Amino acid sequence: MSTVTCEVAVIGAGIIGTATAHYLSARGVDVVVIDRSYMGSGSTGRCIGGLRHQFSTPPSIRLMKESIRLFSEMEEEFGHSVEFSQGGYLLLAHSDEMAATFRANIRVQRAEGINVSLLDPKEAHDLVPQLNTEGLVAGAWCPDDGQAFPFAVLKGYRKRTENAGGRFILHNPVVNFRRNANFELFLGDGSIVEAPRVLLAAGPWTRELAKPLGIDLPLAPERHEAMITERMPRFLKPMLVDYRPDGCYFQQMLTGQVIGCYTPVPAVPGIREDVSFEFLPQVAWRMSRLVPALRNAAILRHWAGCYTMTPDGNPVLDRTPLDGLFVASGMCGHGFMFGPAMGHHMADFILDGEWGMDFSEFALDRDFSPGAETLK
Amino acid sequence: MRLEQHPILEFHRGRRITIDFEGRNVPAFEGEPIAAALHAAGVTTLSHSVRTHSPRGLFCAIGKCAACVMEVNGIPNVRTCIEPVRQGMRVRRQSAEHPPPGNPENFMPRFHEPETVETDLAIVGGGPAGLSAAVYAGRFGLRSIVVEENYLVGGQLIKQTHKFFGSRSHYAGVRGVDIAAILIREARDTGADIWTSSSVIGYFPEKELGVIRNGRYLRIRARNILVATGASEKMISFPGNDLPGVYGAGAIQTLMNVHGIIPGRRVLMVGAGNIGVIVAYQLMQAGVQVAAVCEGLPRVGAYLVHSAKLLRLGVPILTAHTVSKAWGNGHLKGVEIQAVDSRWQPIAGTEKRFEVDTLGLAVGLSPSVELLSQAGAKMCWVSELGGYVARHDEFMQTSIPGVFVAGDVAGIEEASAAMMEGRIAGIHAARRLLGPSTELDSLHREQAAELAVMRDGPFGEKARLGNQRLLKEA
Repeated sequence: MSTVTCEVAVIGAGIIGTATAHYLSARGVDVVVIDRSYMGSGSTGRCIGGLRHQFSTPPSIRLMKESIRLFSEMEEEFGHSVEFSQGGYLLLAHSDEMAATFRANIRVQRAEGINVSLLDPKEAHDLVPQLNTEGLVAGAWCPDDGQAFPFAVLKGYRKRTENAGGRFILHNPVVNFRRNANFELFLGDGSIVEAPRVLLAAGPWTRELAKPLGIDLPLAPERHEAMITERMPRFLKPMLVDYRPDGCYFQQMLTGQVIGCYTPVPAVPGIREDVSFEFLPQVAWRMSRLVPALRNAAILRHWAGCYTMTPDGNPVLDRTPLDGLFVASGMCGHGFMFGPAMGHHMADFILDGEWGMDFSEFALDRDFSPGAETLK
Repeated sequence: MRLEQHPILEFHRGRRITIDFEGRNVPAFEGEPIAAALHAAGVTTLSHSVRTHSPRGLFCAIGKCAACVMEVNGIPNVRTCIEPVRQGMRVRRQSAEHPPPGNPENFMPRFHEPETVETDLAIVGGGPAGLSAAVYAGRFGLRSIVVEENYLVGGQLIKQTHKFFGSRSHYAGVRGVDIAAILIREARDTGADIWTSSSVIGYFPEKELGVIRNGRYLRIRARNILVATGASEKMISFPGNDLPGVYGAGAIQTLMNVHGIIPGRRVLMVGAGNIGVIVAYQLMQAGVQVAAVCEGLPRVGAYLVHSAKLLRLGVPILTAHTVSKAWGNGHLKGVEIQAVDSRWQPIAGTEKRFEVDTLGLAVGLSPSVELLSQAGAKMCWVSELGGYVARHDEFMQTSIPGVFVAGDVAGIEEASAAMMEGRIAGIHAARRLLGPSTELDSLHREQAAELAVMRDGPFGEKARLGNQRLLKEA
């Protein structure tokens, strides 16, 4: 039976795991990334690739400022395009309550130096002429928000990590997990990875992985479905987010496809990647209600992935009670956009034992009462 | 270029109409697809690559690739190879300068709850396999719906103008196009509902299909499903392989034999299996010059009866040769081929150049397994059958109970095999609903025996070995 030893083992080759591995290896750490399947096979490769500054608390906003800066530097750093662009996010409020939430958030965001403004329906229509403004109360607009292509980002992190000596073990699940002098990770093919430090970045599978060690993390996966249209000439720059209970969110990729989803009510709990019949007619209706020009778009593909939710809508990034075991999960649907900055800080935290900025709202021992993040 | 005279075919063209192509009037005949009308008018560039902006033309002609998608009446990404022309239709190429139209006027978005239609047997694909299944299941009183994405039914039979071999029950001596007409009539007579221009876009548990029909999305809830989606043309890589004028051999057949339009004046065919050789001969029947047939293997794969026709007409068949490049400015102008050694490495100094405006690729077919794979049927790679196929048992049932396969999607073979597999699937769909009976069992034995006989000869070896491997896996 073969045994691989390393300084840090990362479980999960999604955005969080690969970004952290990249920053660890850049500091000379011998790192191994393990995944049960292919790169991005969990939540990262199934997300729609949006990046936004428009969060409701300063730590999240600051993380996103850093992340979007890192995304903007990737093409130069990786030597290939990650299809990054800043077409903005236009959030749409169809009720006075949501408009009030936007106003409150904009105050916080502006204080953090974010270029964000509240638009009336006419201004929103001027910005997106295809927008159906019926029932619209207000829009929150940040032109610096944008998009990137998850697989191109993962490819870049992998390349950089491997160039620095890091290793990837893919298509090989961690089936058991034990703590002796070091952590011993037993893999599906019978091999063992041994490391003094381990990062759990396995998205929806993180909770199950930690259980054998007696740690119960407050993580609850939910199924979200998404769809992508065939390529069309570019006509829609921003991501549109419709916050009605029967709303949706979507954007057009640089390559022309419109990609989007909606949040199911009620939530569909569990680690599920199957798709429902109901999704397509719903999403088609919701999207074409908002942008009627889309009613002629042909849908190419439909799939599902998991949001790993926490009770308060904020991620969990911390050390665990078990010395040497770290966790970065519970991204609540924002893992891809948070990933680069979180990977950077997580790597430093694993090595230095302290955060470079205020991470208390992501701490494992925080008060998880719901309600911290208003824009889920 | 339209054919007015053909030695064996008559073209029954519909009413003469005109369509609007980027502001110019293009004559067309009712009953033909948009791409065919444009070809007849000399328009071979139908789209452009999104990334490289290089021109793209018709490649598969049966709705399997995306090379012909255009904007039709304001709707983007219409597959113009399977969309029939209508008087006054507005067609244009898609480009960044032509963004999709703004909001349609008077569009009142409203949610439509999709209708649900129940059936005993939902058949995806109206080719020889699907229609044969409908006929056999129908004989036992099963109600079936055949969902066909083309506006024409019959699958690839409708372009097969050669006479079939085999026994009487395989329609020996009858041309494919006539077999299609027989199967369609029999299927309708046994109560099958044939939905044309209808696409199955997804499988949902338990045995539900999402279907787009007449612009509406609906659900078929089926007691049995047969996936008979056929195959798509394989592509080989060489510079210039996406130039308009490079066609799958099947696309040439469709253009020429179904719509009476020749693809060009002078052709090089790649692949000396049955399809390549038959299509090369049919091109000559239609008055097109065939410069040569080139084949990567060291021998001709086609039946002698087909290849001899070409050789008698003086067409060289160059074995152990492959395409090294193709060129042209907006349309194919020439092709270079090169000899290859026993390890498929090109041999320097053996280049031969041909000035041709058409290149036919008959380099094999891939089973169209997307729906099976999406449904979660267990798949396996069987190279003798053309690549990934769904595991199935001798009753053509996949790993999902009640989901069957038949025809090329179950492994690349001839249309005769597709018909027999379709019958077997139809028989077992009936058996699942009605329980075993001596009549069903004896019918199955009869079809299974015929299939075995067909695969017994030297030309059935690949299918025989492939299916043996598949049954072992199942």
